Amino acid sequence: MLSVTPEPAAEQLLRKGRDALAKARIPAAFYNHPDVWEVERERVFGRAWTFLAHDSEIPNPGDYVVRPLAGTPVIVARGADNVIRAMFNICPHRGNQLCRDEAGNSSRFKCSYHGWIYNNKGELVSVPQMREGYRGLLNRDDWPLREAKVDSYRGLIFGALDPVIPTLSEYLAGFQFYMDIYLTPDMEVYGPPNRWIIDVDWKVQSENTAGDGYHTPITHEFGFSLGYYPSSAATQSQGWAVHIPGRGHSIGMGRTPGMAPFFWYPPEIVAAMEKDFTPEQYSIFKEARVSVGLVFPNLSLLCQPLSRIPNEPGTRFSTLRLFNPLKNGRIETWTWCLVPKSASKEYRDEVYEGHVLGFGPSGLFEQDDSENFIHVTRMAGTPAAEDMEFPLEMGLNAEIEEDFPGPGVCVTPYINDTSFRNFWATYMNYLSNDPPTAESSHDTSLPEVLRVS
Amino acid sequence: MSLDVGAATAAAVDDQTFRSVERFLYREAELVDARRFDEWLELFADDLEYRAPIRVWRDDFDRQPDPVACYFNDTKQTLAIRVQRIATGLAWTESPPSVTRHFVSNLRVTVGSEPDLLTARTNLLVTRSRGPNVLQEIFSADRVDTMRGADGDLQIARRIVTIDSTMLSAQNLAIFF
Repeated sequence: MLSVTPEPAAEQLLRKGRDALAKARIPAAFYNHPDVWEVERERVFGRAWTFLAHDSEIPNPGDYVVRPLAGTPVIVARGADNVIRAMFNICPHRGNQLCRDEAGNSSRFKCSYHGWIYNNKGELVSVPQMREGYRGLLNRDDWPLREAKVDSYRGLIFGALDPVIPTLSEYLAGFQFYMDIYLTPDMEVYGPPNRWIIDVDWKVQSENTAGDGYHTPITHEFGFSLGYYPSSAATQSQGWAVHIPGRGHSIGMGRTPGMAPFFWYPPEIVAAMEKDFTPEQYSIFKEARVSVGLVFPNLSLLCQPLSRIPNEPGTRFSTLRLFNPLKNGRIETWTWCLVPKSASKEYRDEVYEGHVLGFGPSGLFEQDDSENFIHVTRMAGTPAAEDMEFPLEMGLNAEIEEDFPGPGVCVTPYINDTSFRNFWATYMNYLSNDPPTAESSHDTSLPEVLRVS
Repeated sequence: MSLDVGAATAAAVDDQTFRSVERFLYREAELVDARRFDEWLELFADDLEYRAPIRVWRDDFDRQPDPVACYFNDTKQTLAIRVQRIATGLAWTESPPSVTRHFVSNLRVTVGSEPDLLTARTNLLVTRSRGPNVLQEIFSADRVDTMRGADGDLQIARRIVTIDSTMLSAQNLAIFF
């Protein structure tokens, strides 16, 4: 399935994309075009690690959730042997959808068509009329549920369809250092995710979450007006933009000089972070006000302080946000709120309440974003977009922060297109190159013009 | 959290009370659709709980509304902030404003868990139209209101809106239920 040759129209788009990127631009059509989608669904989503679930969603043997993996529905189950698998939710007998609900606990999955039964390890354990119909000759071992690859980092379970994809650790390539800010102390999901379908292209969302600090004072201007921000418009731009070259992962960390380290975290959480973070992580994260990151291609990580009532103390919430593409210009958004396993119920409730007031379908900030993202997507789908290009120039001359203690490339200020250039360059590599292997992954050097300084 | 099928077990109220609750809910729907949000807010008690649990598609129907996860969970204060936010003119998703229509039906009114409380359970259909979009957003929901007071000064102390779909087909929930 990875051998699809791009159609001529798509080839043309790819060339336009690479040519534009060499000038630090991106063609508008990449934000919403059916030809682009036809290629990226296989070449990006067929070859990347995709977030599936948090392991606290399936804590006990037999627990399962049904999740999308690059368009394929998979049952993410903790087997009786305590091993987590991602099995295609498709009966291998006639292709019927096997599991109908989307969460539960079961030792077996029975197909409602002819009754083949699978255990929660994906093994075919029962076939009706084995003797009368198959004369006992069908080999059950030949017909297990198909499995995707599964790998995880600190509770985040990812799946992949590409059999030769590098390990998740190689794929993340050091970005784990930054993921820890969202995952420390040990976290679990507060409850099932919020989900909604919206007419937004996944790349509009992913690019924004790759570290767009530029939009905040404008898109979310109401926050200043109502007194929601612990920073002013003047200090909003300060902070770090860090990316992992050639991998597409990046994080923007806004910082406000003079702010108390780890403000609004309760003391026991700060103590746990002091213990768990490396000195390098500690020195960076204590100053981060907001951290907005992307695990390429479509998992957003966000940690933000929010007071439910403006000008009153609040909490910090961490959220995972998945932009599952249904086609060009349309996604399902999935959002999970992470809360510390060890924290009190009151604290966890307070964090979740802050999260749903800020993000998710009713979130005050999410509402603003959705309005812009829908219209960017809509305009990109018009004929006018065929000849338009957008600038990715911000931060082209930025100095690399050589003394920055974290992995990857760090530039300042936080408002910067550098991470976006890395996102798009990585994306173009996926679209253009041969399938990645453990040996030849996506370490291709960026074109000179895309590098900073 | 199982669905509280209050109408089947709790005592129904007299016709006069029923009519006053019905009038109140129609008036409330009229105010919210007319975007007279300040007047609308006055219909809610200061200790308001205004919440929309998430539904998960499970075999166990009673477990479909999740006990903890929700789309929104507001107090009177945060609901007022949502209203203030729209009034700033900076809530881009409501500028220009959506046109909403609240269809409130299948009213069942029962005596609440305490003598001075009433429970009003309705089937709710809300449509939201935005500018030139051809498609409306449509939400159908089970709505349970806990009310306090008598005719003329009823207030909603608790509103639980359980939307039927598990995957919302909506730009956002910037409107009120």
